[in-house]
Amino acid sequence: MGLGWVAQSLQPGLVSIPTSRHYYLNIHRRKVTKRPGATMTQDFPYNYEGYDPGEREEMDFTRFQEILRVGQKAPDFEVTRLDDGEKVRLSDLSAQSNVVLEFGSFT
Amino acid sequence: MEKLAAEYKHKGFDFVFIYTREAHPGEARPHHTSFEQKLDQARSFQKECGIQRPIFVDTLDGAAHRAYGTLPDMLYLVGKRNRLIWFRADWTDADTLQVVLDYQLKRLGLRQGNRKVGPNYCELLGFRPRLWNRFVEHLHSNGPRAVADWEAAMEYWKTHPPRHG
Repeated sequence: MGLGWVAQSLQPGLVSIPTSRHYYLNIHRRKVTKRPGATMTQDFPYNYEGYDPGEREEMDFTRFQEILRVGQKAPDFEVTRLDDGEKVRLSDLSAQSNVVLEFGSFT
Repeated sequence: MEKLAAEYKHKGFDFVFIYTREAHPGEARPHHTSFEQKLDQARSFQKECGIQRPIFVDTLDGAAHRAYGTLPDMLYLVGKRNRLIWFRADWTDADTLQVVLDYQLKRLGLRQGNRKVGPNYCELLGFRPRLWNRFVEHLHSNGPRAVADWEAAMEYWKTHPPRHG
């Protein structure tokens, strides 16, 4: 844990304003950066009770842009098949076929 | 997407729908507090939305969802065996996917014909159709809280324009 985030926020052209205890918002790039030590789950629970378009959603958009790129290896995961309750890994599915992965819920 | 799933399954593409957290929880479809509840809600999602393609339920803490970014309606295309990401989109749009699938089929055909191909990086700005009516319908069936939160969000965006236009 250092003061790297302070140095980063002082870079010219990267004017950042503290918006909460753990996060600061880069108003020029509309980018929310996580301060060291802060975790997504601490500040924004994964299963939230009510939709809120603020910081959490900004972070979700930033994370999407930063987390993966085309050409990278898709992270493996285990999910439960609804029809039979069987646990299935992406690595098993993709061993047989190319995979279209779609994420979603009711809305 | 159902049409694409049926058509491209025979061309070597398996469709995997990952049921995630509820993006707009309400009284009728609340946020998930146990895995059993998440399974139950996934079943009613399958039934009420008439989803034919196979649904897979993520862990309660959204391990798979978080590994790919936590947007509510993302789309990825993953290649066979080496699991390379061929395509990713922040929102699911069937037309974009169809273009990509046809393109990849054509290129895979070249590879099988021993023609030399090398990878190259592409980006695309898509323009997805906004299915407002269906969205609002779903908000209402999620419950009054989902609608109220959405209305509050519209107010918020008047002073904080969203990144997604």
